[in-house]
Amino acid sequence: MAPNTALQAVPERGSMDGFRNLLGKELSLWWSTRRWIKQLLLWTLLLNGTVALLLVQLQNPEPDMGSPMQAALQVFLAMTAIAVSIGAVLSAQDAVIGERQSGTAAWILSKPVSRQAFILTKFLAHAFSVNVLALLVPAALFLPEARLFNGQLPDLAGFASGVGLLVLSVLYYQAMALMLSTLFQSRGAVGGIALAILIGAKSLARLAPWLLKVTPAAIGDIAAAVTMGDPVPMELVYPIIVTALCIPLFLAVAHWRFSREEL
Amino acid sequence: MSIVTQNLTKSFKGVNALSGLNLTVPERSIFGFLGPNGAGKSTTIKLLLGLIRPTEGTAKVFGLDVVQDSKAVRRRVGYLAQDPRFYDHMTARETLRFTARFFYRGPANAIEERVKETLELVGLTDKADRPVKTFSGGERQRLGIAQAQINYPDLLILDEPAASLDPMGRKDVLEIMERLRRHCTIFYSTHILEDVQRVSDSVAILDKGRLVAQAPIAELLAGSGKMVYSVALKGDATEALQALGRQPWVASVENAGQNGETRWHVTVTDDAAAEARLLRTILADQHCAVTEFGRRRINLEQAFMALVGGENHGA
Repeated sequence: MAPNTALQAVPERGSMDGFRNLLGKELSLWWSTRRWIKQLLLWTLLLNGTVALLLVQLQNPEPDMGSPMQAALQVFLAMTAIAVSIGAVLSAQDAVIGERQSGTAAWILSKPVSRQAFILTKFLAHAFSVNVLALLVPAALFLPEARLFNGQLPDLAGFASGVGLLVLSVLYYQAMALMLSTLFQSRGAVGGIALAILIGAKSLARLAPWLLKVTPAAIGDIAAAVTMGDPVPMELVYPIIVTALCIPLFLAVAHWRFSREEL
Repeated sequence: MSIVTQNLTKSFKGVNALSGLNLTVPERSIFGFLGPNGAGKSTTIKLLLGLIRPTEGTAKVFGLDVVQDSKAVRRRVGYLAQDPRFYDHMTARETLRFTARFFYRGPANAIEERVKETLELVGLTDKADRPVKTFSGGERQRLGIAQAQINYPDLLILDEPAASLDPMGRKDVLEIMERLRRHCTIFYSTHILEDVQRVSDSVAILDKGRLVAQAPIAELLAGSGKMVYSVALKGDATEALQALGRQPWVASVENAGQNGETRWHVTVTDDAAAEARLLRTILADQHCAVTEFGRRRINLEQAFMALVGGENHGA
């Protein structure tokens, strides 16, 4: 069988060899199957459904309650911060472990593919898909929902900033789960550690307030404050900076560990 | 050479899975890598592919170091795992297209043409658009071979390609290997001796992580390093036996006759001398007649058992 001379070889890209092909495959796992519809329905029903129920109840608010818009924003942002981060951990925890256990990682890495591209494409595809399906679409739907029930829109710049902070928080937990999945062999350990940090940090912060500075535990509250135009104290900028810095750090650790992985 | 390893060693938690492997695989050969389960065959293959790193020693594929130039090696290699696994949501065609995209950026129609060719080669054309999760073990194995050679590899590495197949599936896989031998070197591991004897040019035998033999298959079948001739005789051959004992190139004469038959297995150290003088030396004895004479034919199982021993390997 003589080689087909029309075929053009993929140029070498060093540490990014295989990136484009792998990214396409990772995205196709979300977008070429029914997964995206299921995820979209799940998150829309959970987040926008809850907000709709709340807004219906708040049609005739008690005099001592804040505005329905404020209540709806707080509920939406608080739920999103916790629930979407949990979803992000659950979807990312299997990304490396599943492929390692099934043997597909060894198959892929027998091709001219860099391990860095393998890790990075998993992060990018999960980050894009989870944030779009579980955060950005429900956030976009929140606006007509609020207008329909409440007759007004929140401050768009503030709302966008708040949602942006939530995206940062979700990216943090995705990168963490991905890193943990290169460090541990069991899904239980990965999910357990990530969820313990996610859920436990805010509770433990009562005993150790510094935890609020080094984890994204306070980001939901900061996002709510930003969205509603409340002043944000300077010290609350630290968790934003730390969260942003941790994402590349977690990815670097994941790459370092996975490059030593024996498959 | 397609593959050259020098003192290649791999330990897992202090236990040697592979010890000082020195292997040379000639280009354009079908090279059987033989050994019982746990002998270190898959470890060697994973080392060649850069999936694991050697503890000691080096391995080169087409002169490229498997650690330093791993991606360059993988560009020229096709690999079939022992139990090939693919993405369940993809069809066979999508799997091959995905694999091809690691090597070729386009044009799309040339890639589709290549996918089609490989599907035909392994007989999966009619199942091309079925999801891989519905494939049987044999079909997955065929798809594994298809994806392994989609990039026209110079070296095809197959880990137990026929182990999980029924006799028909095994036959098909061996036929595909024979078809591909014109284009590339095939290095495959197996513990099925019959397959090795059928398709291989050369063979290496590994046992407990150590290389116990490496030779062209004909040489291995002729004996482990020394040539053995089989001679059947009639009559009194006492003088012939004494004459053989005086020849410096005769290592031993073993009487392997049964039911009154005289049959000698003559082990020689110099094959050229034996070819020229062995028969003549025997025939010089007027009291006996030679009824059969030739190089002793043994099958691979006998050679394997002689080298690896009769221990229970569970293979």
